[in-house]
Amino acid sequence: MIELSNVTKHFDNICALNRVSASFKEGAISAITGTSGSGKSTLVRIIGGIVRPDAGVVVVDDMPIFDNVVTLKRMFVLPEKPYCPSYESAAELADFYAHMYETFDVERMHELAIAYSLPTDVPMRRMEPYARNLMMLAIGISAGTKYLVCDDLFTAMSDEMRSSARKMIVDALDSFGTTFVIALADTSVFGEVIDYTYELEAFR
Amino acid sequence: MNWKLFADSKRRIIVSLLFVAAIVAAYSGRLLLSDTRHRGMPFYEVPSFCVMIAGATGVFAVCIASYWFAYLHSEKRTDFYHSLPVSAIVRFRTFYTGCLLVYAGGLVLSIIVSLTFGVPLAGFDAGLFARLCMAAAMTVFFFLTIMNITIYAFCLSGNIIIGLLIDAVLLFYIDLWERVIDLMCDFATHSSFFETKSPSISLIDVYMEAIYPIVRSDVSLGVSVSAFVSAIVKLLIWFVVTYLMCRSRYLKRPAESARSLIAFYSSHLLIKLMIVVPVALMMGNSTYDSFYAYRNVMQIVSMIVTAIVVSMLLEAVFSHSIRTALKSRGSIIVSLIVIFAAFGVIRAVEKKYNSYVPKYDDLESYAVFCPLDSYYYGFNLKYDEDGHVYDYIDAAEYVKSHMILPDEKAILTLAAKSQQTDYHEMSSPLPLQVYYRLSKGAPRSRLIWIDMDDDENRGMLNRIVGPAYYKSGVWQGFDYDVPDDADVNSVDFHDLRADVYTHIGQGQGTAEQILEVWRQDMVRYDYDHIRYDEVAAEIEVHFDGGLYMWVLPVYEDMSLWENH
Repeated sequence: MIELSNVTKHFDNICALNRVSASFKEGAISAITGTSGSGKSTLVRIIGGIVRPDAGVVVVDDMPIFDNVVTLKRMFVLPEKPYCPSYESAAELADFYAHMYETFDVERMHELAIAYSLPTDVPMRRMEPYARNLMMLAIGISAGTKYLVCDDLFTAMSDEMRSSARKMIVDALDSFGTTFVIALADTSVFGEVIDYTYELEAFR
Repeated sequence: MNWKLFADSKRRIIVSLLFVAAIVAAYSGRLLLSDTRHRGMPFYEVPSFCVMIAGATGVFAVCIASYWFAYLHSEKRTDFYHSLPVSAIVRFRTFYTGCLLVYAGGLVLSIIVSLTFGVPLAGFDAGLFARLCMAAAMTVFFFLTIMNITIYAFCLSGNIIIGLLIDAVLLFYIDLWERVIDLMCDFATHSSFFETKSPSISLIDVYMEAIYPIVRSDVSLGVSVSAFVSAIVKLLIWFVVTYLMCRSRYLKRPAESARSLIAFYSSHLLIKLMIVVPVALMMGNSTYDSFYAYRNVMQIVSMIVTAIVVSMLLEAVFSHSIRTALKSRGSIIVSLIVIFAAFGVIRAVEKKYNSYVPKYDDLESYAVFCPLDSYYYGFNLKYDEDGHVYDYIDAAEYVKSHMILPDEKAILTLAAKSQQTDYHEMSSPLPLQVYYRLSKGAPRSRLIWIDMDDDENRGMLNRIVGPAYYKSGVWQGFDYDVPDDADVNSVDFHDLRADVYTHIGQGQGTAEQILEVWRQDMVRYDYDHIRYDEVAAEIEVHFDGGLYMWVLPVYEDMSLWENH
């Protein structure tokens, strides 16, 4: 379980998150919603162990997440703009992640790519941006981590692409019990598959 | 270390190989050019070689560190690396070792290439190889320290341009403050002669001062090793301190700072002060020198204006907002407080420093340096055990170790009178730098001013410069015989008034003969006899192919001038 308690974060003198507390249940899809600037991306990065909160704690399976390799191995993070070297193909990127995550399943990544018509042998830069994001989601799911924390990669997608993403997430939940925490500007884009919704209010 | 950390390993390998190739081209190319032509590096090529190696090493350190740590300035890449299941310390070590390996690879390959192509052309020389190893060890620490400072600057900033600017400021920061103090203080500008050997602190000074005698093949290996040992200890300290600083800053650096200019909000004020304070002090000093009549007022006004303008400029850069910059009164006030505190401290220290006159009982002996004769203090030579000249002795060091003046009363009277009258009000002021050797504590050096129209002063000065003690401390040739094995190429008489050179002869015998006449003439040297006039001619005794020489002054009242 991912638990947040009184998480506060400032950027210079701007308060991005003020005393946020939440528990994200295992084996479920949780959505973090809120208006633009409410701190969704910041919260995703805090949960993913990228950003350290100024105050409050984030624990994953009763262990702190920040700079903790044990918990980071259970977590795959997809920030708003996932990084991948532009000349590398999805297959090469999968090889890289396979060295990082012992649980990474290269075969599963290839199966997902085939199922959703995503190319694995062309450089990522040649892929259409939203297809690239879908590919990154497939890689994230293939990492086999217990948790997958994901920024809003979906709102700007086409309906067809978003539908594929939704199906990929639901299948992963059903097949492997992956826990998803997803930031969404608008929960309606994911419809009924979301189990829990947490709304952030902009604090200024 | 986790070498699987790099998603872009292909690109990293290619760029690293390019760095290695550049290092090999720069280092071994330059080494081969000089060593194979001359079998060892002649002294006249050494300064340019040292500057080139130091410059190239600095550029490599900044470029390599920038390339490996540039990800800190990209939000996407920072998120990527920080989300991987790798601890921050392992990530730091991996990136750091990556930089180190690139440079080490280039350096080792350079040495191999130099030896492979250089030895068949110039032959193998164990001494040269030892020099190469010492220079390589020093250069590695020089590289690492600059690399650490660059990493520190990159951790401190969220933008590559700002990172490089901070890097430049940090690399030259000690040199900058040395310059500020030099410009501001009378004790630094006017009585600095005996302080010329003040300990080198700045990284660049430490490296440049030591690398020079290390790579010179005509300096004995013992001298080179001693320079190496002293410098390597200092470089090691620099390396350890900067490593701890950059490591600590890396571990504390927030990932989200990739999108800002300065990574640590709390560092804004510190960075501002680091830049504003020395710049304002320097500007104040330049105004002081330009406006004599209102110099004190102009200096203060200039410091205030500079502090306000530079503070606001930096605030505008940090905040991207002119409006915020215009409202940044708090940081301007803090800057002004620090500037005037630093100004006050420097002025108070300077005043106390300049008013010092030792007590009679505390003074054991002293040495003096007359700036008007400064030219003649610089021609004393270093000989090795074979009588071979290999360098000039630093003028201040020579005077400190060879001029032992015992007439304490004369110098203390002159020093006390110097305190009574401002030198601007003297009709004929003569500056004299004094090096006091004290019975208790370290020696001290001060500048005094002597009014030469005062007969008592003139008499006191003659008591100081008249005896042989003084002359021995200025001219090596006054009491030092030409070594038996010295190679005296030429002895010349240079008539300064007609600018005509006359070749007198060559060899040790000729040199000894002319020196004997000069010494006898110099017995009458003081400000009432020989020294009352300017130098009329010079005797030049050239050693070792004319690269080094003694230059001895000849005055109008000397027999050497009358008979020339």
